[in-house]
Amino acid sequence: MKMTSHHRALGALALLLCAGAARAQEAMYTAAATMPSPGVFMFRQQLHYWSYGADPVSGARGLQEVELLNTVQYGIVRDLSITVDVPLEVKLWERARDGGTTTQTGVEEVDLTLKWRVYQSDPSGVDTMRLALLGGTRVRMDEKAGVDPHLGAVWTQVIGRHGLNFEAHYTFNTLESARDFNLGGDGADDALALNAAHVWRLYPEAYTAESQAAWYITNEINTLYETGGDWEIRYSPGLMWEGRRWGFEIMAQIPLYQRVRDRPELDFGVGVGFRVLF
Amino acid sequence: MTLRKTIVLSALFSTLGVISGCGTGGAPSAGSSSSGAPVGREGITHQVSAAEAATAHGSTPIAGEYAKMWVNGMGCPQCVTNIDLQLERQLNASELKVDLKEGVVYARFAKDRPTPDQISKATDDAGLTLAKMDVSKSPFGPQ
Repeated sequence: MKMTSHHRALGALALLLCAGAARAQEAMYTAAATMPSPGVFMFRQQLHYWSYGADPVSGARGLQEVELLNTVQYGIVRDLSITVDVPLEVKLWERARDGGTTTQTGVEEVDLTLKWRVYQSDPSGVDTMRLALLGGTRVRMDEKAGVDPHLGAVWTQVIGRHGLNFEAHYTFNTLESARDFNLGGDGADDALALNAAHVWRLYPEAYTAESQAAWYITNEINTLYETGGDWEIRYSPGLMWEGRRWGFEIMAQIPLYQRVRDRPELDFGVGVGFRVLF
Repeated sequence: MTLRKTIVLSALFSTLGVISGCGTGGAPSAGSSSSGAPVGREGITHQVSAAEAATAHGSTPIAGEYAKMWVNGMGCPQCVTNIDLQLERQLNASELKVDLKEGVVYARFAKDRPTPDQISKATDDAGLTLAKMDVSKSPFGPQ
């Protein structure tokens, strides 16, 4: 059987699954204004797969990316937490010149983010409204050691069974930190991400005295604009289970609109993840 | 592209259907602590008088080892884990139980008797709001 790039990607995905084993109310690609309380850790691991079309810059005919995103969030003091994201990535692309496949593996960058909750109102037992500011930097892990500061804000509102998250995030990219492949916000141009998520509690319809967990349907709209002129809108439906300490999530990403010249178009993406609070 | 559009539109319409038709949630909970929530919408509104609000503040240790706390902002199961952890770690609480239906947290303070201010601070640290509190020398009734 001929080994295609899809087979290689699936193999890499299986490898990553073997390698690795409260952001409550948080969907997969949109932040929430929630955080662990002081002294509490949250560990989250997400496995993503994205398939892209031809890259106009490198000439690659098709590109696939598998990412194991490891996230640790820690509550420093009340209303302030720090998040460290370490993505382990496998990229496979089909070379234009001979049709062969090249694989690139490693940690290209580490992201540090501070989340500061500046507003909170809890009008009832379940309902809440929160606003948090986000600030941090992405550090490229190679000899260039490029640094991309980023700033953002996220609004979270829970109304009965409905959770809403709105996030705006601006990244000041630099040429030094531009990656070999720009897959959205990875180039030299600054990037503005506007994300919205609706988290709807599927079950239980109403909490009981014994409720310890809940199932959610999540729907996200993820918009990315780069100052070079590229922009896209993705739709991300998903399913999430959240217990007292554990959470599990599964998600897909479908492009709704893409106008990109400096990077490949997304075909589709899928992701699974889990998180634990301790 | 047509298939993709169909899938996306179906999902969006499903979502809208969910929002418009199924957002009724459960009926507002009955009981002395929960009334006033609009019909057809989940979300307990704790009725708190000025005297009851005062129970969440004070520097005198609580009189009993069992506490019943009416807490606001417990939007999801994982959100409330924070209050378990803060009450355990800050105030040595045990026998913790969260009732999401009533928006109530039960705890036992067998070793040390904290003050209402300390309990209020632990709740705040958990990212939640203590509306009022009751204490007893014996466990509260059926929980």
